[in-house]
Amino acid sequence: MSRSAEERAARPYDPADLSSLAFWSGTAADRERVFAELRRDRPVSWHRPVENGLFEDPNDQGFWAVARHADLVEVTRRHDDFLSGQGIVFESMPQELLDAGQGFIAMDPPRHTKVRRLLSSAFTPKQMARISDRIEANARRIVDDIAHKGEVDFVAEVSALVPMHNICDMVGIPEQHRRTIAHEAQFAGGWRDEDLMQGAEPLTRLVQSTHTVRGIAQELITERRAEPQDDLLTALVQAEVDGERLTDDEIVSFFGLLMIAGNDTTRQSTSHGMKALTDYPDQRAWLVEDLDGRMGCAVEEIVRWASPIMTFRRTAARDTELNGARITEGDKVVMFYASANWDETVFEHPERLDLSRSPNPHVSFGGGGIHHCLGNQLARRQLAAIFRELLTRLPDIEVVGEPVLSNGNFFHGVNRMQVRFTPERRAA
Amino acid sequence: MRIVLDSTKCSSLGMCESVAPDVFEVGDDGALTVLDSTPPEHRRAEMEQAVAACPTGALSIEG
Repeated sequence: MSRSAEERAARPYDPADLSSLAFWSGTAADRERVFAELRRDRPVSWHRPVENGLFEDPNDQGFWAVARHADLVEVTRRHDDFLSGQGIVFESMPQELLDAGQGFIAMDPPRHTKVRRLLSSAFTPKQMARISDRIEANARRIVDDIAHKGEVDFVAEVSALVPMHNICDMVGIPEQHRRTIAHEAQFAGGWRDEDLMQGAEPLTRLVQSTHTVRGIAQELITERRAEPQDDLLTALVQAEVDGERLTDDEIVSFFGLLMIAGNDTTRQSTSHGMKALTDYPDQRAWLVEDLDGRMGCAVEEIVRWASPIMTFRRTAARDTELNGARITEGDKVVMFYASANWDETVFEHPERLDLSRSPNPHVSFGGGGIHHCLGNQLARRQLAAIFRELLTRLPDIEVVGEPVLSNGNFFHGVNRMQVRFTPERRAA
Repeated sequence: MRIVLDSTKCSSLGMCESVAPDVFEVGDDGALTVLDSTPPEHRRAEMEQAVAACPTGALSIEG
């Protein structure tokens, strides 16, 4: 046993439960009770390995849980000490899956810096302004399709479609592949969710999903090589890093990352946002009074409230300290975003939805640092566009019944959520 | 007041550009250019906001 492994083995586990399947299949409010205790008393605590339906990992000895806002920010900014290259979820995934789905998010400098820059040109403020008409048109199209129905599953007919159309427009994925890809991308974060898995064996399903996405990506890559278009995929096909073209495997990996990070995040924020607007009518009334003037601020609070990604992991590059905790090389360090977004030393009354909250230093797009969400401005624009469209055209839209939440420790997912509204009258 | 860019840290997110688009510009090649590295003094608060918005700490103000 290595020295690091010995130190880990000797370290007692914290009594709070962050590792059981039950913890992650409860509600955000249940989890917050545990986070609140950790933030107050034991901000950096060592826990037994997370329970997982995927595979046994005899080498997994546990993880550090980072609960406070300030510590989360510190971890994300100390990218030399806390690495991403060994994976960014709790579980030690097989390398094949890491390579296929995590793209540059699970990469460290110097390669991360170069590769990420290739994609950043598609997400600049100027580029976002260029596609804003398109984002608004997609929001209109989605509301057009539901406006006469009166009651729909909001997740399937709104939340899932908003990011799907926008990210597929950007990457250059034609209509016929969109639903397949958006569906398959869910398995990357959703393999712990019984509702999604429908009895399939997780690892088999995950590999199958990877193959489906890879197949479509490969087909599109070949098409773009033959006939370049004005899209992100063409940019990747033509790009060079250190004088070398990206390999097809690398492009497929970025494609996978864009599909997962692009679809499954804004989807959750849209759903949680709709639920929040239903649960807090006063807040909604305040927003509707001046939709254009207040939407920017409201979107920040919706994104804090949703905390669509609950955890990201790093791995310690060396022996180091974090807020007094002695961390050993190779230790897993997991950041808890919902906890940091509820940190009462940063947010006054974090338990209240306050659409006018300002400043709002939430960490839903990251705590800063080199992995800060590339699509943050895209996400903000999409949320503003869809809620503006919904609240203007379907002013009484509201959630009926309780949402069906997904299980898992990564995405704060909503699987199904009924909404009801007075159908829009068709224009004469 | 002088705006200083450490391009080794810049990740080209353009958070600064969304604060002050006439001072910062991420080009189509993904590289950030400081269009006006000595903005007038009355814009200090805005420049401080742009610097603070940078998630990688690539920007600073001298003087």
